[in-house]
Amino acid sequence: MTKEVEDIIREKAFFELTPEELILIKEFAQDEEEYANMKWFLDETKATFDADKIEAPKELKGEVMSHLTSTHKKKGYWLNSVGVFLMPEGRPMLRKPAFQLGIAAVAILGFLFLYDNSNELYQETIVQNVVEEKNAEQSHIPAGKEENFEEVDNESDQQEMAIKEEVDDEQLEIVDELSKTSNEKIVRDEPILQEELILETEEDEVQEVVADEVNMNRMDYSFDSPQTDDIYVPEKELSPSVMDSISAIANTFAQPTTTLSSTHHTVPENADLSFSEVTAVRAKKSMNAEAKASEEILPKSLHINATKELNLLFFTEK
Amino acid sequence: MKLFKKDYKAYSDEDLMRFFLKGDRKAFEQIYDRYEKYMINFFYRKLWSDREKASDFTHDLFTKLIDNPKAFDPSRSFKTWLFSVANNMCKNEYKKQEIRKPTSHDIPEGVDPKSGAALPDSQVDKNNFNEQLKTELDKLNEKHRQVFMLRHFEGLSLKEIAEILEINNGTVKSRLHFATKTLASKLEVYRKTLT
Repeated sequence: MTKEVEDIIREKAFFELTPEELILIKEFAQDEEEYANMKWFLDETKATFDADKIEAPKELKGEVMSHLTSTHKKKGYWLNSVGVFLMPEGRPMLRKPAFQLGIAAVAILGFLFLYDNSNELYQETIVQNVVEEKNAEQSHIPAGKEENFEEVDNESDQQEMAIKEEVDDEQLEIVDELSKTSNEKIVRDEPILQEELILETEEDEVQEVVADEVNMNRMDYSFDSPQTDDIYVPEKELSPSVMDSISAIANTFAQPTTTLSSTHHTVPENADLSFSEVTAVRAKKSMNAEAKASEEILPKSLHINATKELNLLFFTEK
Repeated sequence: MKLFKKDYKAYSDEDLMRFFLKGDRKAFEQIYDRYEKYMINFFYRKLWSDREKASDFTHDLFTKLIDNPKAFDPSRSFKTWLFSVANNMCKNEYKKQEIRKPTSHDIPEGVDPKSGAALPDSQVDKNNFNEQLKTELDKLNEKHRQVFMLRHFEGLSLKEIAEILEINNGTVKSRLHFATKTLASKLEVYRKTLT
């Protein structure tokens, strides 16, 4: 710390000054006389000022300290207990409780966040798989029949259409099997047929499909007025039991509400009698199920009413 | 656990303020002990030698420091900062009062002569010196007087005075040189009687 000129003058006599100090004091005194005068003035001024200084009252410190106590008391709890506990001095950062608690909180929140995300992801995956399965089922549409389906917007309609296709395929298969030129009779295994029918009719969609199948088949198969050659049945092959059943079925088909009688107009020549019985029974079963499940089924085609004559031809032996 | 007590007297003012900012009350107590006398005499000189006012202003100054210790910039000198705050408090008080008492503004009282009693010649001369000093200081420009008082009454260095008054070091030096030379030449006559 550099000494001030006044301090040098006050502390030292003129002969005690160094050459550097002599240069410094030249601003205040050119010679020893002026130096002495200045020295006296500065001493007297300091003495005068020191004598005039006052002492602070003793209660002043007490008042200031009490203000300090009241102010810092509010912060004391946090600084001296909580703060010290969380952030103690002398410990590395990793060992401070505040840091460790922070890490633990971040870990817990991260785990909860990931758990929620994984749960949502799992549910989304399940839904996606179901949708994919159903889409895969829907993609199996036989050729030529795509145009028959109406455009649907919602999944329920798509499912319905898928099921219709399944039933349609199965029925085609059955028809193919039955139409084979084999002498093998289809055993009138009513339980089996009933099972087949039950399997088909247990679902409400199947019942509707069967009803709609009429339209599809009607569209696919050309509806010509039945030819007597087509439906010719040799008389000698008819048995009384068959005749009874045929008459019963004819009566059933004579009802205006029937919707399935027209499906049989294309029975080929020399068809096996059991085929008609099969279709008749199936039709009857489905009609009964439809009656239970839905309202009165209106005929879907005028041909059904107009084919009363057709039915008679169909079931009348020549 | 602390095994050794801190020796607060060995720490600088700035270090004590850092401790105080962390909540060390004893650091503040040490600072108070160091500057109590300085500040009360500063206010006493600046506020018309009014002891009560000086005491009140000193109390206000330190309570301000307690309430807002962060106002102090640790990069600065605490002493000059404290005197700057005190100087500003006095300026505000002048504005409030809207009067200025130049006769006893910067000159300490307490040199009243004893009434009626015969004083020795030396004492008379001394009293005369004091009054003459007061008179001559009044005649000085306020800028010169302020620098002279801060240097000789408060005991501050030129650098500290420059920081408090926010002027250059050279300006302080020139003003102080002028005031000292002027007063010394005018009061030289009393040297022969007092020595």
